[in-house]
Amino acid sequence: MRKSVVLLLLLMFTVTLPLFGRDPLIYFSIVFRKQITVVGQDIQVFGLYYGAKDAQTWERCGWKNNSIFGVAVDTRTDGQNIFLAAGNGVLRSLDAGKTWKIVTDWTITEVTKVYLDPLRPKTVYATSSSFVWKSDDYGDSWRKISQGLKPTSQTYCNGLALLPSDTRVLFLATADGIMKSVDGGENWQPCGLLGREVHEIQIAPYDETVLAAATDDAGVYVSRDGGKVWRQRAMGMRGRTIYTLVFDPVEKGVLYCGGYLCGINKSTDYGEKWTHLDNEISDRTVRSLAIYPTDNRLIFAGLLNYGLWRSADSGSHFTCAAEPDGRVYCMGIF
Amino acid sequence: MKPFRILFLYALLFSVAVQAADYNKLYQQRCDSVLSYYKKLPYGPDAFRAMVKLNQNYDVPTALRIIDSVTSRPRGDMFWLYPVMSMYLYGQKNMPAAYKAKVRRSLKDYTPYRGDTENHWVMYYTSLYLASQCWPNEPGPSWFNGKSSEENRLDAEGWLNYWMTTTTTIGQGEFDSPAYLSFFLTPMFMLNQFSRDPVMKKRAEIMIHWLLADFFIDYLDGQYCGPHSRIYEPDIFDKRQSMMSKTAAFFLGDRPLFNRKGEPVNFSATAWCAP
Repeated sequence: MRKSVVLLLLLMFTVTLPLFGRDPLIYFSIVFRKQITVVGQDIQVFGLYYGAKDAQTWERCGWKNNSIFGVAVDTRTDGQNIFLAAGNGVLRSLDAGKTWKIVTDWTITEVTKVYLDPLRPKTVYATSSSFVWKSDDYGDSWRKISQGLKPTSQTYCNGLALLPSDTRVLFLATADGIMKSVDGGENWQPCGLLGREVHEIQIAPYDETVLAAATDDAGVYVSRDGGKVWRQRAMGMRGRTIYTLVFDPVEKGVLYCGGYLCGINKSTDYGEKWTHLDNEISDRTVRSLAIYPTDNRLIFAGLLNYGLWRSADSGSHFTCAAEPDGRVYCMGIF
Repeated sequence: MKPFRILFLYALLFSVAVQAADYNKLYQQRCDSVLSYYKKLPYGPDAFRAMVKLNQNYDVPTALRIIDSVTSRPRGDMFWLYPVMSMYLYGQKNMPAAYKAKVRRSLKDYTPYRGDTENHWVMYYTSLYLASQCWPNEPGPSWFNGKSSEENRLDAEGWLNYWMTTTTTIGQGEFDSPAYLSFFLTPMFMLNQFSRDPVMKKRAEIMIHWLLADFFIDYLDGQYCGPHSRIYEPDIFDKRQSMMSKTAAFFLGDRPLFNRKGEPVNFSATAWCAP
């Protein structure tokens, strides 16, 4: 009897542990600063930064001048395990950023994004300027997964979206449209927008059949049927080259996007109409956007050359939160 | 008639041998001239100055001061890593153990970016390969990228073999320019001289011959006349002053040396001489 109670308590503790974990932190990377550094000269300090949602000062961790284009933090390890997509390859830290190892070899460089599979703890994906790569042993070894990718879509893979309910289903944003896999990347098939460079794909957190894609020079495309049909949605939008977009996790149909010299646009109807947000960053280039998981009014925007910005009122007003001369290329809240 | 032919052939071979000997003698004089100039340079945070001073066993205290500077305040990327490894390898015979340890420690504490073009990677991976050879059997945490000596060696060797094979079959990814040969060539000199693996040593030697042969067909009458894939202003307006024209003058001796600072120092310190 006593043994059963202990086991029950242990099980409850294990199940509820994530709920009592730390508050999500904001991670972002600076890739160079406004003042360009010439190769060979001393390079300014940049790399990975992190902090709380209301941070005034931000911690920098890792190497002095690491060019980071994507970050993934394993929340199952309370933020101890971090993966970075970097110019040198995929980097992994198992001690919250104190020490790092490049876990890829010379064949994998210019990595654009890295993803942890939430349902398969050992699986890691990396997109790069050449191909998509997969690790089944938490980054120790990597293999190319390119069966079905066309030469044009292999050349630059910008990012992935994993279907939350079945993470073997992947959508790949490439320099030549969207590719889809239903078997964890082993095989790929075209899934629309051929001829368009797609910078990012997002899946609505409340409806897996709703997808949105940020494209180069063609605004945003939205699919309401799981990627079968894509429709261009740019009415009222400022800017045509869109780098990043994010669904509001609470309010259905609300979508934000940001891109080249256009600040942030907002839609409340799945992209049918857009409103350009007239705020402090309305003419800036926005590279990354994120909404805080437990407060959907709190939005973070990573700007090219102007650092990290924070809005507490759904984007009506922004203030600079960090590194005002930094080129923020990627951001994530974990 | 037959003895006359044999005599003529001997005379021809003798003439070629004399010319080769003359070439090597004059080339060595140019190398000595550059080294003599470099070893007398005052202090500056320039690893090549320390390299020559140590190599020539001249003004060693200044060389040690330079080592302190470049290892305690590392700057930059493969343009830091490559000079530091050159300094270590060409200067190690006169480098005190404590200073060798400083170089080694800097390779643990400072992570240089590997660069983003082909010539950067040649410098980066050659340096990494030779560094892993200098300090073998060391674990990941003792290296700047978290990889063990063996992992670094395999990584560097993999890239170098790939680059050599690709270059000698379908050509270089970075096309010829009036400025960049040295950044491919000098790492190969270093690899050829210091690789303990005879296969890698031979591969580096073949690459030296390949790169020089590829270069000299673009050199005519004292100036570089080949493709201009990457250029700087002087390469256009004063072709005889381009880096490649100067490099050719250094190798061939067909013109006086314009200056002794810069690229020639990387060639001068090596044990290489024309075959």
